[in-house]
Amino acid sequence: MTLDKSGAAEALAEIGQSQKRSANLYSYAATSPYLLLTGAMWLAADLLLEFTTFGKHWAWPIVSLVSIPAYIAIAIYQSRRRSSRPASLDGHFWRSIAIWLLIFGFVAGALGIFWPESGVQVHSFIGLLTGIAWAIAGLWMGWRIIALGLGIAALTMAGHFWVHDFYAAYMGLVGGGGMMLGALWLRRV
Amino acid sequence: MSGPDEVIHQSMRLKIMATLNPLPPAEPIEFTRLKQILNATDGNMGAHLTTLEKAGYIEVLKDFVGKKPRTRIAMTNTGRRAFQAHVAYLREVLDG
Repeated sequence: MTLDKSGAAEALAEIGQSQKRSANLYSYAATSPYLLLTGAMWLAADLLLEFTTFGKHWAWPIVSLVSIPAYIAIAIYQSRRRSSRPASLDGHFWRSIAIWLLIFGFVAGALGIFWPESGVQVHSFIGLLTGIAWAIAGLWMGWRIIALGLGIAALTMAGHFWVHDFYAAYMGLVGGGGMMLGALWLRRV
Repeated sequence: MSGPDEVIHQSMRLKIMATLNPLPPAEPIEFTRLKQILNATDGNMGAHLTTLEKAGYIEVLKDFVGKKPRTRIAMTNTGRRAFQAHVAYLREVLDG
């Protein structure tokens, strides 16, 4: 069998497309458990904040502490599933930690500058930021993620101005629930 | 210049190998997922996977998750080397 230049170019283009799609899908699948966990944390923390007395002060610190071993467990599980070598913390794990630290630093800095008067303002700001971050990620990852991000941002703004009762629970469902939906979509795409 | 790998060069088998190549070594992908990614039918995929398995380029892993049977496909080291050699050949043809 011999091949001419056009046949080789066609085959290389086919390879390039298949490899790119496969690498993207693999990356989505590897990232989704971390996003699912983050969404679940957000939902749990806001429901505790809304419906328990201790949650008013402790929901977010406790949920954040619990999440650290959970992130490590996901990283170790994924590492073991991939390789027979001893488990190690992969790039997705370190990127997840770095994203949290960067967002935490940005939010702390922004709140320090604007000094909001209520917890509602803080919550709405974080929800809006999350929605916009998803929409930006969607520019690379696909239109469904853009729609999800814009949906979270729009529902956050609606909640800020119009939802007065059960605001924290509403934000948990919008922010955390939206992130969980996005993670499930990434796993199935 | 060596020739093309005739097992890999067929269009569907080329797509299968190109889909498996970016995965980490020995990382399997589920048959149903691979079929969905390549938009292929069961029969079509099955025949091509058998050809690749006979050539030693892929490994077909069968097990059960609970009571449901599961089939996964992983590229072997031999398959990865053959795929890389085939890509190198295609580039040579294009450049030459």
